Amino acid sequence: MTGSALDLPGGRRTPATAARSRWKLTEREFELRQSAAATVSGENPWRARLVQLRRRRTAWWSLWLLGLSSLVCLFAPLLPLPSPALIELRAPLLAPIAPWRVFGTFDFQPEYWPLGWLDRQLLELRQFLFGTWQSGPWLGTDSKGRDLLARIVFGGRTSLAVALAGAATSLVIGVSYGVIAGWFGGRIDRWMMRAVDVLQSLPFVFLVIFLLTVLGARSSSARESIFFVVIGAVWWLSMARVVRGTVRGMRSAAFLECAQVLGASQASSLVRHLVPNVLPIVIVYLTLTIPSVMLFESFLSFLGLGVSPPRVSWGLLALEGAQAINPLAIPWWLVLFPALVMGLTLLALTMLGDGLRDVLDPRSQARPAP
Amino acid sequence: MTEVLLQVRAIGKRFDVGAGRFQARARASIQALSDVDLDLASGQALGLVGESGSGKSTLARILVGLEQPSKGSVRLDGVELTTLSRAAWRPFRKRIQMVFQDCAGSLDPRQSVRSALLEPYRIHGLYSARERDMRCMELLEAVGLGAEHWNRFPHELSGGQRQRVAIARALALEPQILILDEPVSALDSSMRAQILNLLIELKRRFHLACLFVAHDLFAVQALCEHIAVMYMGRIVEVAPTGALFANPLHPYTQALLSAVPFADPQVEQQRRRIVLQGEPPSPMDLPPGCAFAARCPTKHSIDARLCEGDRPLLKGCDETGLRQAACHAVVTQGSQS
Amino acid sequence: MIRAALRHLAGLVISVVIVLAVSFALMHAVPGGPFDAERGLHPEIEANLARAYHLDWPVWKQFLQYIGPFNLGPDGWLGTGADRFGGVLALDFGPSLRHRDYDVADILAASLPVSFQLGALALAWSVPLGILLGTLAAARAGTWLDALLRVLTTTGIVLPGFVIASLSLLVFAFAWPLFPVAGWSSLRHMVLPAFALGAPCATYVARLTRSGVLENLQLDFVRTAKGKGLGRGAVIWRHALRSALLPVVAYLGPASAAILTGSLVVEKIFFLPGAGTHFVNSALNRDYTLALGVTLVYTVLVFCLNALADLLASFLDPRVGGRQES
Repeated sequence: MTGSALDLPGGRRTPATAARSRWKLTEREFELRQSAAATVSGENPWRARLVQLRRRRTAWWSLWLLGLSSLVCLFAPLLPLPSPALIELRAPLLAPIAPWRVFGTFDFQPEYWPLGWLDRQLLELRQFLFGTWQSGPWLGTDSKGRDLLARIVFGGRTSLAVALAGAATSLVIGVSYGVIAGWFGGRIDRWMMRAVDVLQSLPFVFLVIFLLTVLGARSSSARESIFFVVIGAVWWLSMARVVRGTVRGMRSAAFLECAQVLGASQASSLVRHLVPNVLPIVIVYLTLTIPSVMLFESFLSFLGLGVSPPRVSWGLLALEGAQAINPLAIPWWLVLFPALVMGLTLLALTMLGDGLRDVLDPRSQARPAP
Repeated sequence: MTEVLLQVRAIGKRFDVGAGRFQARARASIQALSDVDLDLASGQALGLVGESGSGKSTLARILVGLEQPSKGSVRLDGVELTTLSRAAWRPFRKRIQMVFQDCAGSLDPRQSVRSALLEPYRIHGLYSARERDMRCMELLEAVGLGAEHWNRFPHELSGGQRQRVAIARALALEPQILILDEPVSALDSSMRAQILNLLIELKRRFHLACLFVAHDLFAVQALCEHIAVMYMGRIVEVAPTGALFANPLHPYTQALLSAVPFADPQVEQQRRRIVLQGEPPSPMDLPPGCAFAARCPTKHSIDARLCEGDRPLLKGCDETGLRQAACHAVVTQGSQS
Repeated sequence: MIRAALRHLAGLVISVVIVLAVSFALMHAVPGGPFDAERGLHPEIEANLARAYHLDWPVWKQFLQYIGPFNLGPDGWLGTGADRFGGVLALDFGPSLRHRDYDVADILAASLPVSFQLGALALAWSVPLGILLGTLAAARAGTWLDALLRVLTTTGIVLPGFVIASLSLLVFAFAWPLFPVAGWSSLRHMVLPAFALGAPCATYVARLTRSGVLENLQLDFVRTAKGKGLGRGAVIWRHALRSALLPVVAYLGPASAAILTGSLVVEKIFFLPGAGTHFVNSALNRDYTLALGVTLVYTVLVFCLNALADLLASFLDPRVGGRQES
């Protein structure tokens, strides 16, 4: 070995001089290899998961269904639907009329609650495209003569928006809480998780309602904005738990130590290695959080504590349906259709969440899907 | 002698245990390492052998700053490494690198081989994009992989291939020192031989100083010029590889060597096997004397009370001072001869 | 065991104190809150309020009085005799802000029994039925029974409780009048509400049991039992089910919380005079004291039920004495 030390005259070598003597690959050779490498494409874990998800038919169709209905809800003002807020006392409780009997009418009147800028533009475009044409009462009308289909679509808007906002809040809180607890470990982790234990055994619904009661005293708009935050703040617990567990399992993972030995800073290994590996499980729990937030929104709206009229949400529709029933008249469509739409959406979300969990959660991969 | 690159002096490491949920008060500590001295010379390989729990992996982790020693010093060209912060360590990462045992876990499952190999350059901001790619490609070939593995992900590689990628990544910064923490123990035996051959070749090509941690004497033999044997957190014998195999001095080394099977059945039948009696002492409660005393077969040839009451120190046992052993019996032999 | 119980108790005390402190602060701080001057209440209620909360006292003293359990005197700190106890800890939540001449405690005393009856009834049918159906589905995994059950459980998970309640009202009370629409006097009145309330719980228990039994059927001790020559029925009912019940027991805590939550809508739909109805109305009319009273009672109740279920589960689990580190 003393012999080989003689190759390096001049005492201390620098990596650069050593490199010049050692690297042999020429540009030409490298290009050849590069083009050879380009012919082999590795199986990216993300793409592989996507393919697996595609093979799960129910989850894949659920994804499509949800994407489609979100689009419909997003562009609701553009669609030629009757106004969801226009009270038409001449035609209350109209039973559903099939499209082939009354396809549409030219009675459209743009009456809405105060719309945002984008919605106003969409509405103008709609009037430009369709004029005063509107679809017929395909799903019937409610006790105030408002078109049920339009109300379901616009209600879906509210419900989806609340669900997404709530899920986003829960994502932010849950992930940061879980990452902090899992990353630092030790005493911090123990106390943080004990707090989650305690919070988990509280009846949150009651606390939230009480909070809404007190805080929402000023106005209903204040209540609505509180509502979004509070809903998300309730559902971060399981997210925090799962993220913490994953981070904890990964904290000692060899590839994080490798990054340290290579010289990566703590922040950079957090961003480049920890986050991509925690992301799948976060996606799974996000998909599972959305339906529960949605349920909670409709629950509160049903109790009259959530979205307030003239705005509409699916929970509010269900409430109106339940209130419209009496021994004299049974407007079954007011109960059935909102329930059907809500059930389908929640079903699709649950199926998608289950499929994603099978595909993305490493713990469920070991055992076959039940 | 070649220049000493890495100087390890009097390293000790204690782990606190028992600070669990319910025994917050019942603290105890494990002495994982005590008074370990090592020198690593440029271009030389030192094998560090011992059974699991002997502290050899802890030592390796201390050398790259993954653990803080409780006492002692590690110097690289005279610079103290143990007190450096994570940021201050960074320039030294180019000179000392490590390969881990767990080849499945040491690669990020969501990184392709290419981006894993590019990572060291990215962290240290070295070279242009094209040069980085060229180096990575060449590294890949240096470890016996090819362009077809360029875009692969860890789950598409075999254990041996993953370990090759890990080695290539450790070499990307062209370190002078490579710490190998049981790089072959997770592999099957045919793969093991291939990786060992690769390491021998790379050591020559990159003029590496290696610290090869293993629990298996044979794995170390081919690569290393010197071997240090550890027992219960202490080095009990250091010797040049040939001399150690020919004439092990410490009774623990003798027992280890006698447990290695030989390929020749005649030799295998004739040779004497030393089977150790008893269990190693608990690292929470080490005896005051030689930690090996309770299991030592030669203890009774000399004064047993000496072994149990007085801890033997590592001493030179021949003229060159290259052979060292920590055993009362050995010292006695050496003075007699 | 005792340690775990103590830990639960400490959690309960801490969370109740936090809920109390936050609610007290909110009531005082929020404009338009109960102690705000411009709330326009009935003068008689105003007088009740001022008397009960001693609005002329310094805030810290008001808080102590509010928590209880002892009545504070005007200058000293203890009342005498029957007036000795007061404040939330003595179950005195003060006067209702909307119901004249009623204390919150009176309203609770009248309405809680209805809610508890309803909840107990719902649990009583749903848990056993869920266990039975889940075990049957596991025993006949892959058959039409299993498929039917999967459809049912998915429906139960997907459809919110109030939709189930409205639909059952629509079908069994209006379209096909088997049961009365509303009221709370006989067992026939209780059938529909208890069904609507328990249905989600039953489906969840069935799902838990099914997956537990299926998992256990693949374990070694069950295979040993099979190998001994026990019949399939005995294997399932005696061996596989027993340890599959652990998660069900642990779920009883969350289940009771879910039942209490569900009772809000069910009571609203069936016009039952329970605490849930009062709670929803109090939230709508901003009857803070009543809302706080129900919230506190339910918080303590759910907390205790959770702790009980947890302790029971860890007591029944042969493997762990305490909690497992996850």
